[in-house]
Amino acid sequence: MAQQSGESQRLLVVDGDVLVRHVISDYLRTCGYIVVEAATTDEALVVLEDTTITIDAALCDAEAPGSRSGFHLRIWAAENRPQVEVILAGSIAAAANKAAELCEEGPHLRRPYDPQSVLEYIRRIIGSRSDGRLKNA
Amino acid sequence: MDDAVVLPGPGHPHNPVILLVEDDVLVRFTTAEVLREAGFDVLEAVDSSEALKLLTTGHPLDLVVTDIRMPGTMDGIQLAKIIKATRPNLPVALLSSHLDQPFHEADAFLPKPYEPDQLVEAVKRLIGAEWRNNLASPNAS
Repeated sequence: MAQQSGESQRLLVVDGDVLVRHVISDYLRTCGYIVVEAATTDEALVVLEDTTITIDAALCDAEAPGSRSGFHLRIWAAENRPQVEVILAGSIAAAANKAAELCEEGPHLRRPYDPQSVLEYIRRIIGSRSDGRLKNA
Repeated sequence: MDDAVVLPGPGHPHNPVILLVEDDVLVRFTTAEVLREAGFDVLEAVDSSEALKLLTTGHPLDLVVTDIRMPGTMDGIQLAKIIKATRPNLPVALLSSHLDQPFHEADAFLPKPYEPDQLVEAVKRLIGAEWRNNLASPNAS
């Protein structure tokens, strides 16, 4: 992702699980990004279709709920908002690692905790709840 | 559950935490950013189901701000009723584009549209005095 100095970069985080979405978004805010949260790919499209909203990159659960899959969202963005890189994550661990990579490239306001801590925190707040993405992480 | 908590409550050097429940993604983002710029931490929920999920994590919360009309099985008025039944000390503010204020158990009703300053002032009125002092003087202990 191209780095812009002196200006907050804006990310779109797409995840249907509010707990995961919150933790990943909070992590990215910690390192200086402005984050738009979307619960579905439909919400993500509303954001991306509004060209007055600058989005530098999107981090999307590949299986996010909505009328389109995360893969379709990436194809749509490539055609309609080619400057927005859509990063797909297939598991919570992958999302945490991708978020850490974004922080490495990003504004560096503050060094956040490591991605393993993000994953452990998500595990704690989700607890014993059955979650396939977490088990596969 | 306490082990899961990352945002401390009053008495800790941290910002007050608001749970914002709004189904319109652009309104939710804009409102959340207004509140963050005013010094609050904001948890975002798209509907009552997500809000209840966040509420049951034990995450510290100082205020719930919820839209009334939302998709799903529960609107903002019903959500406020549940919150008041389970966490009576947690203030709740309702937002609505309908000027007629319905019967509700929330602590405040804010008709849309509102100016960002009006929202921030309403939120400051609803959170505790300790938080207000911290906001007024960020270095206060």
